[in-house]
Amino acid sequence: MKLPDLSDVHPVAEPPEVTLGGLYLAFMQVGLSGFGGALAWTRRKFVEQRRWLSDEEFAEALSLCQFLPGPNVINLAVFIGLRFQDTIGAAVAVAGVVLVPFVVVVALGALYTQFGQIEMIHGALAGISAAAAGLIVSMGLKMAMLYRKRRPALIFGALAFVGVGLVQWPLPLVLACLAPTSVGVAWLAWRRRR
Amino acid sequence: MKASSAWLLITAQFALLSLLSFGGINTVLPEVHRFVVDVHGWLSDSEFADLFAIAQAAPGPNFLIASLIGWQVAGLLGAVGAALGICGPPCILTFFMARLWQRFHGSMWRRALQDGLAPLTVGLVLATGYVLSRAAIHGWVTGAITAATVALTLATRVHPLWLFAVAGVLGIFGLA
Repeated sequence: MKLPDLSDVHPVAEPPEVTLGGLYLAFMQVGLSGFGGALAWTRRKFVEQRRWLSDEEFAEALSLCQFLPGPNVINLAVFIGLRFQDTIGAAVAVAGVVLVPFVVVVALGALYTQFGQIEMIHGALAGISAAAAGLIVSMGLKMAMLYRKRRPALIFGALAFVGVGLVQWPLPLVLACLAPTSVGVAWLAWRRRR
Repeated sequence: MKASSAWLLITAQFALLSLLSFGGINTVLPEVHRFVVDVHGWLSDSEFADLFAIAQAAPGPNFLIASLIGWQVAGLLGAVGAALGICGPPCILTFFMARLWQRFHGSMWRRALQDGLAPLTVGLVLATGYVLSRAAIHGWVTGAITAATVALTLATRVHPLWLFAVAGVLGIFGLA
């Protein structure tokens, strides 16, 4: 399927040329650097390094992917692969993010069965987990910068943070409350602008 | 205890949970824990916690904890089955939803959805960061590691792997 007309929202909506090999490689690198979650690395790779996606495009892709069930990075691979190389692109991107990391992680699992008792390993894991958490926080802050001038967006973002992070209500519940309200407000804002 | 059909059970369980895992695998981990540790007794509590830490720290997406569990329960077959289970159904769903999404590019309702949902996404990312930080910070050293990572990745273009390496070394010397 050819993608339909993308021209009217983002001026640079025509996707850049990305080969299947390039797609596989990029997603494999994302998969392999997925310490503490691959999400932050996906943004870094596609927005900051390769510049295949703009900040807004990434936020858009991620927001769709987060509202579908499943690992976010898998959904993102399907979405981004589809955008650049259609169905084959989606398959290649998913393969890139899964195959090699799968082998590595299973090998680590096997090693763990052998050496899991060693204290040093626990220490290293603890240090890396702390850095990984920081990486996610910094990604969230970078994404929040996009909305710094839009008050309703900041309010809804803050509410989502409080509901899921601070109070730790179940995610489906928080989304069931916030998503319709936030979308409704955005809808009204569009209507008024038009 | 590890029946020969365990890999089938694991695969089916992850396939089922994959469609409930809104926001990623972490949201269904409590259910996975119940199934693997409490119901079937395939893993102990501390084994489960260790596998979680490995999946967090390993060079691979976090959902591969499913494969680690599958591996411990039913070997290679379990690892492959768990990966297929957790990825397969969401892949298919996203595929069709993404096409639908592209087709409606520029339509009013899609813009409204996008503008309404994207800020929530940012909130969810920050919430994940907060939850992970709380789990990972045990004292001032781990707190400093997290804070330094945030500051350095915001202010400089340093590659995060360097930060991870330093953090890992600090941990090896028993500081973290």
